Amino acid sequence: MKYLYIDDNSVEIGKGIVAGLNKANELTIDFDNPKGSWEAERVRFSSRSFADYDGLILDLNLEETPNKEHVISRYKGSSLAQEIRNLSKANEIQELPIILLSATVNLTKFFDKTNEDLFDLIIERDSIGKHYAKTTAQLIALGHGYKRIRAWQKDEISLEDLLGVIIKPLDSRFVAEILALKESPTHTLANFLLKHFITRGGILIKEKVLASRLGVDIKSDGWRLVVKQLEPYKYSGTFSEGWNRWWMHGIEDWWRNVLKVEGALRNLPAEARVDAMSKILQVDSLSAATKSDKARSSSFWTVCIGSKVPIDTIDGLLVAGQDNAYPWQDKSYISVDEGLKPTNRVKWNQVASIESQKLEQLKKLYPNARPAR
Amino acid sequence: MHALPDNKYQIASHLNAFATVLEQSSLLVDVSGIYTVANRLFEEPEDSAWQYSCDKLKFPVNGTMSGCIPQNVNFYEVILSITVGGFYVVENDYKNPLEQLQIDIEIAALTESGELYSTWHFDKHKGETEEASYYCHPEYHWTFGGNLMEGANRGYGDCIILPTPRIAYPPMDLILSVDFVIQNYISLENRRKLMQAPEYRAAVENSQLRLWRPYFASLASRWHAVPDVSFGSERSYHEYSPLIPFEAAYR
Repeated sequence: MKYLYIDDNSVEIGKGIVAGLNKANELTIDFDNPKGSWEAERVRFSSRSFADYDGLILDLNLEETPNKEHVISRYKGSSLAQEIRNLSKANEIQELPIILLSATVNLTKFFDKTNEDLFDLIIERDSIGKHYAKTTAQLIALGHGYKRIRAWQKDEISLEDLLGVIIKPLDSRFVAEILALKESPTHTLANFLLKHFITRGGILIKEKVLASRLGVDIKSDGWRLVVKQLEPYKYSGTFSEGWNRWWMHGIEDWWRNVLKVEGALRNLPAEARVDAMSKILQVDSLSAATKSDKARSSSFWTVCIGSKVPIDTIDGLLVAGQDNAYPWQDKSYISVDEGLKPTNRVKWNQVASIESQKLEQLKKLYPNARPAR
Repeated sequence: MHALPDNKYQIASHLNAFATVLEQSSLLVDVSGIYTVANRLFEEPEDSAWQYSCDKLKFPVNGTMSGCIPQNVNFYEVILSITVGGFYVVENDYKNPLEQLQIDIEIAALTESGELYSTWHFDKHKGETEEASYYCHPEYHWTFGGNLMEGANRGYGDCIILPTPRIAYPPMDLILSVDFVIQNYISLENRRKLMQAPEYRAAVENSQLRLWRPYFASLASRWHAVPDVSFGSERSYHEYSPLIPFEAAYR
């Protein structure tokens, strides 16, 4: 995979990120400054050499530093992204993943949220140092994924190949949505798959939610062995190289028809789930996840998006801003402890208005569990 | 009223319309469980029976109601869970509409001094048991308390809670049990608009037709002939007994 990274910073500064993301034989990143003029950028994008890139990384603010020719580029990375999407819609250039990489302060101050759909991924430069390996995997996944989507759109591969699964048991609303997007530009489909299928749980779930639903303490030694048993249900479709996910319908099928446990997974307390798995799979280092003293149920189903502890939805407070969710998407909740003493305000801002009274009452009930002033 | 053709699409489409109008009412925290049930019904194989489960639908209620014990409750949540399965209705052939039914209504309240909890459990009688031969077990009945409350390991003050009486009540599906919660726990001013919505009323009427018509017709047949209808068994009202106190000899 070859990516181009356009940033107004000097090569010396850009070198650090390039070195962090590069992976021998798998990902190479070329660094360049913006060209200084809009026309020159259009020429660049239409060039033969640009067509060789599998992906593009853009800085948001390109007008802070002059380039090698001492020219300042008076346009934003988001404007370039829009132009590329326009050019690819007109079939003048081929679609490719575009990633926004910018300092947090710039994103907060200058990034218009309506431009989010232009980008497949938005990365904050301040924290990229902690996530190089993950980001590299995601960049590679995006490169491969666009090719896969294009192939499906041209009927070179089937929908089964696109998603890596048998279609029949899938949520029909989700399948209908994908089929409706088949004629749309590739990046629209890519956006949909990444933002509404892979990163919003429901049909696919991530490892912490999987551990929660199986009632397992994710730190227990036996967890790895369980995950191994679940290989057949691991997502291997588009973008799977960068995001580890499991098919929820597959997990339910495994519980009912392979383990053949009495009783619906949803209603069993964690201990009962872990008991069943320990016996049937003959795993002994498996411990059950435990609930907070403020929670009522240990039939865990999700994780608090703030503190990541497993919770049952009845013990959770619904987070605000989810009214536009697709019907197959799981809703996000926070735990009571997180509501009383927020630890991660980045991930959630407010509880849904329908839950605000409950939170107020909880604050009165537990006045000592509040954040220190 | 005419009998409507009954199949999985009927059921699913009423559930879907019901979920849509419920979502607009903002009486539930999360309605997506109902949409999921409706969607999965479309994928059921063509068959003579249907079934579904919907768990932990939360209805938050601010404030309290007069007559609440204790009085200092500021907020409570009604949590509804249901597992139900039954048959499609065939015109003029009335029989017990359901094969399985379990409903749990959990009430979790917050006061200034702690959390309070109680539950109601609705059951379909599962045939003869040791206990059944001693205490009245109507085919469909409510119990106060039940396994959830027992298992919660809380103090219940000076209250004694017995699994009896098992109060007879007509069978319910998801739509009727949501309607039950709304009519019993949500104040009139908060539910008025929802209950006037035609989609809501159509869904409730359809469910009552499928589940309540055979139940009530069967009971009524004890005293009145119900013409043009067969009940599948000769003494059909006994499906819902022992409600009628002088038929003790039956059991």
